[in-house]
Order: sequence, then structure tokens, then C-alpha cells
Amino acid sequence: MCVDWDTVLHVNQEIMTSTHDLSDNEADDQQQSESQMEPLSANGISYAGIATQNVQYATPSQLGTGHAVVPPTYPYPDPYYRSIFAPYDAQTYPPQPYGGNPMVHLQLMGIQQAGVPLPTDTVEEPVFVNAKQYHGILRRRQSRAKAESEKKAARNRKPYLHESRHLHALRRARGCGGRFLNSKKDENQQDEVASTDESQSTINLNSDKNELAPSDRTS
Amino acid sequence: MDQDVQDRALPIANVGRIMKQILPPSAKISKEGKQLMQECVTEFISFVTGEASDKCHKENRKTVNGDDICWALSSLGFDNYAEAIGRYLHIYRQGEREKINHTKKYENPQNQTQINRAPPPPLLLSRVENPPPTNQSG
Repeated sequence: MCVDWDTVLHVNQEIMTSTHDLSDNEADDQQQSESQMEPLSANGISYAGIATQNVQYATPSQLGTGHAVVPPTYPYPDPYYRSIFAPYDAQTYPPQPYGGNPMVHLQLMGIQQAGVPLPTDTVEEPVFVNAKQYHGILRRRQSRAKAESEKKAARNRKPYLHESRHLHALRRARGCGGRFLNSKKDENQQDEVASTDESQSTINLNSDKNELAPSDRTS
Repeated sequence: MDQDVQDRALPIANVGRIMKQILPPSAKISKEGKQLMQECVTEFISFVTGEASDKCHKENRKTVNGDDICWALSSLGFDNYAEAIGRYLHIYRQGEREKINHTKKYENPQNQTQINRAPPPPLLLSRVENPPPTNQSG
């Protein structure tokens, strides 16, 4: 399921790039993605061969907003994410003279590269996503995993919600197949003993409907 | 699984109705298409809301308001949607302000019911106007 969402978001990224850029830029993006894939085949971690081009996807004001918004530290205590982030920072981004935030560098470089490699459960092929959505995607993955674990824990469903209604249902009379009996059906049986006409079939249909309705209400 | 998904998802009938609004009257939508759109829309809402909630958590606020949603859309790169939803939020707040003013002027319940009926139509019209630009961009 996570992989599907990555694919959807990847498609979304393609749509956004096509919206913002010209066809020439699209060709450049394809070349960038191809060049990025080559170092991955050699090393799954290092990205030394990445060629950065000055493709502007955001206005300077947005870049400023990125500076202000990026948090100082990684909010993910999971060692899996730490092991992925640490070599990424150490190898690819040298320290800047103005002592900026490593997250800021990551986001800026991600914007220029038109995609940040997103770690997936199957480490075979990384999926490139919009840098702005990177942390959101990771957060959603954690939320989904948490919901999944909660779902597994709560699979044993309650047989009924209200005790009084449960007792009432137990007291009701039931027929051969376990369905509830009702007054109309009892009258119908007496009429069947008396005579058999076409009108009886109509009453049968009504009684069947009435018989089904209580079971729906009960469930 | 289906029940669990449906518990957390939007009603599929409403999703289908919204999808029909943008299509010509003769078009039809398969159930599979509606279900897939239902999942996409639900995930998108969780995605944007998670971003807005994260910001509110950092600022020690408990209520996620409209401005937070606009900020979240912009933060995630959906700038076109952020602009459109910002305009919608402005119109919505104007309507709410006028509604409050009318309620203060006339305290009769009959007038209140009449006033409540007036605001919805312009909001719906502005909502319908938003989808065409996405079609053009696509």
C-alpha cells in the first residue's frame, strides 16, 4: 500500500513539473533523473555524481519561507531513518560558510534536483518525490503503520453495542431458520390454513419484507 | 478490510456526486473509479491535515484553522490550490461576518432562518469555479 502511494505521489510530481516548466525543462529533468540513477547502481548511498542545474521551481520568497519553516532537528527517533539520513548529510553536503541548517541545504538541493530520493521498504529502487512533501510522506507512513497496528489489535469486534437491546433480542421468538417471528406472519399462517388464493402470495411477500426488516435493524 | 477502509473514508456516494459535477451529463463513472478516487481523496486529506497539525503542535495550538490548511498546502508544494483556497476562505469569512451582523440586527427566529438560506449559493458557485483551472493545467 505504501508503494502505491509513492507511485501516486511520483505521478503527482511529474504533473507538477510539467505544469511549471516547459518541454525543454522536462527533457532536462529526464536527463537529471537518468544521471542520478547511475551512481545509485554503483553505491546505494553516495550521490557524488549528481549534476546540479539552476532550474528554479520556487520564487525567492518561497525559498525564504523554506528557510523559516524547516525544523532544526529530525523529528524521527527511528534508527532506520537515522541510518539513512546520517550518511546522506555527511557525504553529499559540505558545511557552508554561513553555518546554515543541514535541513535547509537538503531542501534547497532537493528543489534544484527536482526530487529527493525517498527511502522505501523495498530498498531496490528509490522513488524521487517533491522535496517539500518529503517529511509529510514520512509522517503519513508512520501514521498509517500506527493505524495498521491499532487495527490488528482491535480486530476482535464487539458482538453487540447495547446490553438492553441484546437482552430484548434474546427474548424474542424465533422461527425455523432462526429468523424473528412477528404478529403478521402468525396471522398469515392462520389464513393459509383457511384458504389459498393469489392474495395470499401478496401477504407472503409483505411478511417476508417485514421479516427481513427486523434483522436489518438488529444488525 | 473493506469495513475498516469505509470507516475512515469519505462516503463514496458524495465522492461520486462531486466527480459528476465536472463531467458532462452523459458521462458515467465506474464503481472502481469512485473507489480509487475515494482512497486518493482520503489520503490527500490526511496528508494535508497532518502537515497543518504538525505546525499547530509546534506552535502549541490545539485548533487547526483555515489559515493552517492554506499554509500546509503551500508548504507541501500545492501553491495553486493554496491560492484558490485562500480566496475561498476570504469569501467564506465575509459571508460569516455578514451572517453575524444580520443575527445581531434581527433577533427574530424567522429572520434567522431566512438569512441562513442566503449564504450557501455563492460559496457553492465559487467552489464549482475552482475545478476548471486544474483541468486546464492538466
